Amino acid sequence: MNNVKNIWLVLSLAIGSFSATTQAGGMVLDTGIPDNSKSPLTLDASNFLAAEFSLGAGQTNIHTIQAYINAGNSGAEGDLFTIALYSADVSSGLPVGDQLWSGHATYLADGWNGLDNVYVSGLTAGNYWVAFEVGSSNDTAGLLMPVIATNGSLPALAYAFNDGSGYRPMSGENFGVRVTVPEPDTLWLFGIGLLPFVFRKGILKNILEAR
Amino acid sequence: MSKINSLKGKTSSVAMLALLTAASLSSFSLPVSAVTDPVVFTFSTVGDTRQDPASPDPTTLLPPPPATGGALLPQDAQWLQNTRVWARVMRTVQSQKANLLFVNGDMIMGYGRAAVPSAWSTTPPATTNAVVNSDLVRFYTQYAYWRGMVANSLETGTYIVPVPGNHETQCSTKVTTNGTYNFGATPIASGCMKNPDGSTGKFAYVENENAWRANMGDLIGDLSANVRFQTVVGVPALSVKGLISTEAPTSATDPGITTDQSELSYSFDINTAAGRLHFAVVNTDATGFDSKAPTGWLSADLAAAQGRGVVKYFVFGHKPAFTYNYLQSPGTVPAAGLDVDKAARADFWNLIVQYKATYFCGHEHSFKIDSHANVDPSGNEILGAIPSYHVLVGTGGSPFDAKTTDVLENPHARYYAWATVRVHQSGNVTLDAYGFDTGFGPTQLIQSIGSLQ
Repeated sequence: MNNVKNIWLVLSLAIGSFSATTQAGGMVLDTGIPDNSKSPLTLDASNFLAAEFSLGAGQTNIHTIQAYINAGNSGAEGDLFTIALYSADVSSGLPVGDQLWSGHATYLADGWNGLDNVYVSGLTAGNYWVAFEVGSSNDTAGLLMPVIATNGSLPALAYAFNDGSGYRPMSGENFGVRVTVPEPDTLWLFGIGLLPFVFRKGILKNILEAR
Repeated sequence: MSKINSLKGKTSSVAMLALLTAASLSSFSLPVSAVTDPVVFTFSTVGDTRQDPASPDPTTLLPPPPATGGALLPQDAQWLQNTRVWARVMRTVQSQKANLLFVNGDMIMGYGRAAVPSAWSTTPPATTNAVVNSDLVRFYTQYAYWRGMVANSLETGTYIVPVPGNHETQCSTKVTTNGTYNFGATPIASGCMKNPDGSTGKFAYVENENAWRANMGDLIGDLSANVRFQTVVGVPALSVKGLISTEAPTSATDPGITTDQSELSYSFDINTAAGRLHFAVVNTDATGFDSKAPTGWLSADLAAAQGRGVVKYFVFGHKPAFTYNYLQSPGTVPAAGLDVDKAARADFWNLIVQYKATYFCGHEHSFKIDSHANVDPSGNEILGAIPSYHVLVGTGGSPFDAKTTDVLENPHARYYAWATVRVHQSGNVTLDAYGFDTGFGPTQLIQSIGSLQ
């Protein structure tokens, strides 16, 4: 009986893991984890950083946006930064087009920081910029964006920075950023992951009895 | 009972799966909260923001490229400031929430003699140009432009603390743009002294020191007057010293000094949650005392600070104690700082080491942070004492010493760089050096020191 239970559990975990892995398929930008191959970039009210990515047909929402951020000596847990989504300017290609969305994120600890469940809707296929900015009125005194020599599995199309005089192209320095779009298949796969339990003999009945 | 256990087992299996599902639904795992040591006080420092009309860095010239005749931005050519760099450094320092910004000298080109030309007493200037091109007017207009640039910083939370440099206090015979009236048949009386051997000379003059007080004195005097210091910084300056001549370096403390050094060398404390901090500014080019620090005065000043229970000491001057050789071997640069007099330099530096102080400077237009232990009068380092940090940040916009073709000892020797020091609640003091390249790329953290002793 225990063996059967364990088989069910393993199967369930496997399917669950499969669904988690499949969700990575929702990534549209993934530079990978920075390797500190160069001096880190600063993220403060005078130094914004942005990365360009592309959405394909049917990708109309953004789900998650995160950047790899360290505190260094200047940052602290709770530091606020802004994540903004821009359309790419038609002529320059830079993030000087319309700001489509923005939200506040909080630095929690060294590593990936950002926002889940962004759900920017109504997007169409094309190029976009995700920008990391700091408002001049908040208390964030400076965070660090470590750099990465390689371009990751889903590299940014381009990078840009804004030192207070507008976004300009940035070459030679890549920072860690990743963006996902909702994966339509995800919930369905999770549903499959739950099925063995739901339909397993007795379990539904036991749960009902417990109520 | 077995049914209950079975249910527990099944429930835990479901719970595990639910946890897995939840973890999968949130696309990425959240980072673990950081343990931080809050910053209780921040200051930044940089030096040498002036432009040089005679030898600007080629990367600061407007198109067309230098090879075909690029020129300085007209405003920078007139007021001799590297406006773009200095504005960006200040903007970023403010973003870093610095309470104070020490500017380590050479904010203006100066290098003339800010006096009424002696010739004017008998032959008044006949033209407007004769007046505005005099050293006196040039000094004041250059100061005014610089003060205008920093004015906004004071409005937005960062107090400017000026440190005199040789371009403010000295007159140079090498600078040919000095007012005509200061160069005549009697150059010593009306212009600049030459070296005893008749070669080009650079010497401090009392008129230039007076011009310093006239143009920077309100910033320094407010350490005591506190008209706006506390409003900007958040806390008052305490135990302010050096605002009057008797509290500043004199010939008694430092034989050789011949003029009033009030507001040229001065000091103050700041009380923080991490303890009391001491800041001392030294004029490294006083009249009669060129290329020397007022070590006698500083010795008494640091001792008094220690008596008040100061926990950290920061000293700011223009000239480096150790000339930085920015060239990768082979190659050397001649002594350009306090080390032109190695015995006097030893006295100064050993005092810095004694108090575990950090020395911030400029003069050399390069970036380098290193540490040095005690030195003997011949310039040899003596092992034993804990070295103190020597922070060279003469990179606020003046033409870099290193040329574009030089092979550099460190990759950031031609970066526009500054240092930001953070005093943490635990008492730990960290130093971060930031900068950007001559292409005005993104700001980077170029060096970080986790603990300044």
